[in-house]
Amino acid sequence: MIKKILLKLFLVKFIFLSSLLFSFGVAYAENTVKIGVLNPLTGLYAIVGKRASQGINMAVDEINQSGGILGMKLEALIRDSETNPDSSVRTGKRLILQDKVVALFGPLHGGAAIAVNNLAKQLKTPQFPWAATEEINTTMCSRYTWRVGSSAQQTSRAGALIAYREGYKNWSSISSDFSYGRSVVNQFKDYLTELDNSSNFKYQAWPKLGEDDYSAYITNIAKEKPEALYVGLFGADLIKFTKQAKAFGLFDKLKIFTDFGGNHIILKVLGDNNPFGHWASSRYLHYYPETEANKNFVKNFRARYDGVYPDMVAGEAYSTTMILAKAIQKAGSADKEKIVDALGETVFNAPEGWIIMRPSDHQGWQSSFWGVISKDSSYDFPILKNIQVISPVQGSHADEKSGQGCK
Amino acid sequence: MTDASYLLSQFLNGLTIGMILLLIASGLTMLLGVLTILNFAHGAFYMLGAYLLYSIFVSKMFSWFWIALIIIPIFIAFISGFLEIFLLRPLYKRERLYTLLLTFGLAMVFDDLVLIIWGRDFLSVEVPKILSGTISLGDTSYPIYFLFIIVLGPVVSLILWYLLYKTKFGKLIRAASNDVEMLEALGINVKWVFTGVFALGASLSCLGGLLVAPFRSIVPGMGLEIFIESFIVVVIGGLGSFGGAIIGALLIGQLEAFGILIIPNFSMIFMYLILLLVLIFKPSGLFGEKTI
Amino acid sequence: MKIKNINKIFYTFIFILLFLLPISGNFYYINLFTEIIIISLLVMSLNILIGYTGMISLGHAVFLGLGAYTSALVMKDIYPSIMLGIFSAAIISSLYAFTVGIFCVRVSGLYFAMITLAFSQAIYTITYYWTSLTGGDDGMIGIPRPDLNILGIYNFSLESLENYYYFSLIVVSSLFYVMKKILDSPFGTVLQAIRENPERVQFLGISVFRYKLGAFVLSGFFAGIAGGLFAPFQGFISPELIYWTRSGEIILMTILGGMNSFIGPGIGAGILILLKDNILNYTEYWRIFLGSILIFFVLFMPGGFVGFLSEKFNEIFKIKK
Repeated sequence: MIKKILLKLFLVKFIFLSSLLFSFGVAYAENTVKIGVLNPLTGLYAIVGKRASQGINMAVDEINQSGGILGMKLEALIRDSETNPDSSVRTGKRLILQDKVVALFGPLHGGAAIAVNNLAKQLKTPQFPWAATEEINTTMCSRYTWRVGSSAQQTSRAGALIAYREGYKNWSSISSDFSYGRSVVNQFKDYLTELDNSSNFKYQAWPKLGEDDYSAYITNIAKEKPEALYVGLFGADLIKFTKQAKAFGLFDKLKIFTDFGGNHIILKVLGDNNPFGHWASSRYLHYYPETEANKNFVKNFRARYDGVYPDMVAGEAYSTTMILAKAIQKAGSADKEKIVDALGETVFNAPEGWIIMRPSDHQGWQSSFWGVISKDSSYDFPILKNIQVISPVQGSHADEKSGQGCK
Repeated sequence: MTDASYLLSQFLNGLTIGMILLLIASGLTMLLGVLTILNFAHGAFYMLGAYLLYSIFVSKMFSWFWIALIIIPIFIAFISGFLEIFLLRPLYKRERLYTLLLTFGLAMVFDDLVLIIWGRDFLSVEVPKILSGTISLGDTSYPIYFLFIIVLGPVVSLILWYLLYKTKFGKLIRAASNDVEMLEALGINVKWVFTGVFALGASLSCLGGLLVAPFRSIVPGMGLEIFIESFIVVVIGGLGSFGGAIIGALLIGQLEAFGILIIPNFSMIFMYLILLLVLIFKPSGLFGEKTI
Repeated sequence: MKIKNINKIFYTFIFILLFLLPISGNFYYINLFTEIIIISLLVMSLNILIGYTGMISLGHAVFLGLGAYTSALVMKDIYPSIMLGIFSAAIISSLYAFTVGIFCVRVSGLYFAMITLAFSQAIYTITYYWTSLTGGDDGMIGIPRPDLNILGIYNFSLESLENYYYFSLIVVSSLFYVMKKILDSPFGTVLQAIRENPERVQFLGISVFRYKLGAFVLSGFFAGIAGGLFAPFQGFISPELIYWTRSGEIILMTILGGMNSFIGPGIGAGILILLKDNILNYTEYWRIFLGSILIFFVLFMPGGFVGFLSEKFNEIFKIKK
């Protein structure tokens, strides 16, 4: 009988010891500054996830090669957010509690970004979400939330300006039914209606996030015969939709405005399936503006990654890393609270242009780019031409209408 | 668009969805009827069909699509047969819980395996040139590729029907789904019938995945969603009933096409309501005969 | 010494070890073990069905979700009291178990498995699409963790990781005690008899249906509480909690630990969560590892970890069964 006790004691000790032993297997280097990155390496947004890793790694190496930050090495711990809120929150917790990161980057998924935002607030860690969903710099904004990338307000409102200039009044929309998907369309619709109150939205399609089959929605849109369609789908959803829409000949029936459809990787993957002659936006373009900063960035990126061009997610990830580094430098310490204090009004000459971290809503002020999808002989993928640059002054909400001070 | 061509378009949309579901559901229902196992890894074969089509697509072989259509199901038949012999056979004499768990573990393994083999980059396949483009239906246009799928569905069903009702193998399958022990008593090596059914189901499933690859996304986890959808089809249609699977698949397909019109968010819930009603009032399904 | 006493000593020992964990100061592990404790309640509740009564439920995750959403909604919209949240979670889950159980328990074997899967997926779908109530697939954030009000006098804050850990430990341990008492009683004996031979039990004049339904409701009751504890623990919940792969994971934990013992599944929860955590330190491909481990266990170690060790131990020391 004593043997039974021994068996059970052994069992318990075994479990506890092995778990503790494994925990020591994770080595801690004392003099590194760690960033936790929640990247969609699998799932719906995986198509851009890898780009973000590339942008960050390049930034980290550049910083380390020029001496690091405050004499310490910078390290990015890139983890898979699996494009869903649940995994993002768990992994985020892990990064903060176990790996002791000074900041969290991402997630890109709107709902995940909001969930992690909450976590970051609880665990007092600065978070730089890449999701464009509007709650991030309005209702959900906290002391710890800082968004470098464009918000849905910026690109969608910019899109509304273009739509107004082009004179389209009868609209349809299609976007995923979740926080980000709704933000994108609502911002566009609200601003367009403000500019032109004769514009109307007859049919709005709200497929679920990750929907595989858009044929029913496409048929409905075609039935309503709008002049133009605003597409807020993103990542793999956009690819699926565009392919299916092309198969139905939808591009010949109306004008399409795709938010973030001008992102390099999307244009490249879609190839001949792209809606040529239609409008699309991007947060960053590797061929515009043709500034020294941009050209150098693209050159270095291609040299590092086998001739691959940086897309908007890579550009943004790079900028986010740089801005954080600047803030740490400014703060003079890797203490999370001091970093947060130093972030307001941090300015960075990003490859895409100047980005200013606006203190009132913690949003990175930057321009948005809309253009027409076209072929170009100098590239083996489509690019945007007839580029319209919408400055943040025109695009963003005025200061008062934005975040509630982000406490 | 006139109402008539609109209704026709949506109806065809529903048929396309239904045909794909049918391919996967028929395999699943056979497994339930003959082997009495619920194969959680059934969606994994669907996924593999899509990934393998990508591999053949990038090889830029001549007539890549048509070659793929033949060799991928055969390849999957072998792989799945292999898996069945080594992993599932030892478990038949045990409680069904164990086969459930094994197939669940297998599904997990496959989800990571495709990432390891094909990497994380986004994979895209084009519709074969000959099937791309649209055909005009009244005052609207409809993709030829979808019509191809709609036509392929009945063709495959006919082949299956022929197999089940006009060949010896088919006879063995139907007998096994009725009374395995009797079959064994008659001296038939039932083990190989099981392997055959498993391989057949897997190759049907991978055919479904192969067909959708050009217009849906090729991602790990794509098997999980389709598994649940085909599970619903099978339960509604009746376990082990091929005819039931056809009716169920067509029904669900139409529901998904027209559902978004009538009650946008709730078409999916409606589908589950039907499922639950069937389970409560006629657990053996609309066309099933036996209750396990 | 009787076996009963050995088990008591063993359980007390584990309890003491767990109680001492927060002294380590390692917040990550305190957080992780809180999760293990809460999930072990969930897995043990499933074992009432699988291990004791022989009912394989493929939809057990539904209780985790129902409990979590109930306690979250109650605490956010009705009154921020943690005990009220947990209590409501238990009630709603039990009601659901009773209502649904009437239909499920009528059938057995594969059909029971499928009907439980169908019901849980239906609830998943409702949770996913009822955005106004649940937030849909964006999930629900900002779930409060109100202070625990003891006897109206003292307020015990549950904000910190350690305090919530202790709270969960005490609640779950007490529930384990209750569960064990129930399962050791004649009720539990009947359940095990039903597992072995339902017809014989029916012939003895016992209503198998009633006992199975009782087991189902009991299992739902405990599982709902696990959900009620989980929501304020994570602060965030999403329909993912109810997806069928979650139910599979719960069964996986039951098997890993061993469904033939009382505490086995609880240990299985610990093993799986720690294993997954450790694997993640080295590679992102945790699915292929866990999937292979599951396949290995199913083929070669069906008694689970506890069963395997018992066997090996018996072999080494030649103890007769």
